[in-house]
Amino acid sequence: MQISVRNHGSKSRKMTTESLDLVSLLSELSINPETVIVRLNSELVTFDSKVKPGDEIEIIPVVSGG
Amino acid sequence: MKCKCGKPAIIDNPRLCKEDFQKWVEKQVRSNVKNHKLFSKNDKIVCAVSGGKDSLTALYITKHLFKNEVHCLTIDEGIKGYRDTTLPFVKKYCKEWDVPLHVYSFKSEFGKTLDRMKNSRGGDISPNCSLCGVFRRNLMNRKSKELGDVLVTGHNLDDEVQTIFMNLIQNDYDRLARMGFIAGIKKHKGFIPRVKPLRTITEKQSATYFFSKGFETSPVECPYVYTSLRHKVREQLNLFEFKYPGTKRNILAWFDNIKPKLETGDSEIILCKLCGEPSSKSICEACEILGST
Repeated sequence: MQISVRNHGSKSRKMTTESLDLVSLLSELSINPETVIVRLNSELVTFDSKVKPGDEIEIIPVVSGG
Repeated sequence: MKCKCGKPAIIDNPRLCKEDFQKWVEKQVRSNVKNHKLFSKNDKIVCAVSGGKDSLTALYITKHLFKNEVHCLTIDEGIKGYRDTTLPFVKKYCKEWDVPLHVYSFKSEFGKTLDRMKNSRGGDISPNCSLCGVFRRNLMNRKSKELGDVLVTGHNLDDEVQTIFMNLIQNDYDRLARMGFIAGIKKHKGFIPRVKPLRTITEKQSATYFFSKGFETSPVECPYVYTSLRHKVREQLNLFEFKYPGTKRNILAWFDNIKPKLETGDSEIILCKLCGEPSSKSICEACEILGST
């Protein structure tokens, strides 16, 4: 399925994935879930949330500036 | 997955909806302030704000949960492409939350920006976080004493655990022994108490609170962060946390258990001959570095 993914502060990009939930998607993107929070279609969600075609996913690093 | 109230959860740990999670964070902060006597109702509070999620959260909570007079203190280190992106957010929220803002720059206080100091040290970028820390602490202590009675910082549970590890790696027993809800050498009048109301809240929980309130800030990170030991320690701790959930909280609990048994090896505190700030030597570290650069 195709979804849109964007890192916080960047433009979104289309992506084709077989991942059915956010944990699998983060693993596919080689992101440690401990280091980010995720907005799914503009809402903060838990990582067991299901991913559906057309979803917009924003990945926000939790580390503060410096 | 749902919160216990039936609404969708916004965070995995604790599994709570937006409203319940915000209440949970605020309750933690209230308990921390009360149980560890971080400040009293008449204290004038200075909040150190970088413009990142944690310090803005600390400012918001301090201003809105307590009735104290609150001032915001921001240090402009002069890091091109970074500080100029976060300062507008500090200004915006200070205006919105009616908090007086005081900005002090390395340039005006020490005569050089952090970027310039790096260059005059021959382009060796690895010491920049510690270099920055020396000047930041000096300036924060000096200015917050003029502005108030207690300095609130946005240090969270992750920051504390990283610092425990860094002190172990660097065999810095004295710094380790001085850690806690109230940081530093408390009993010297030259030091303002630095307190950490977010110390029991993880980086992830702090960020979730920040975004759940609808706040925004610059996504730009400090360009020097990747050179620091803290950055490497953070990465490793996050790997452990992922594989062994609860690692960070356990490390902090272990430290808090042994802390009463640690003897602080604080050396005698005197005042720096040049700037008048407390120091263990006749010339403080900041003035010593300024001389060498």
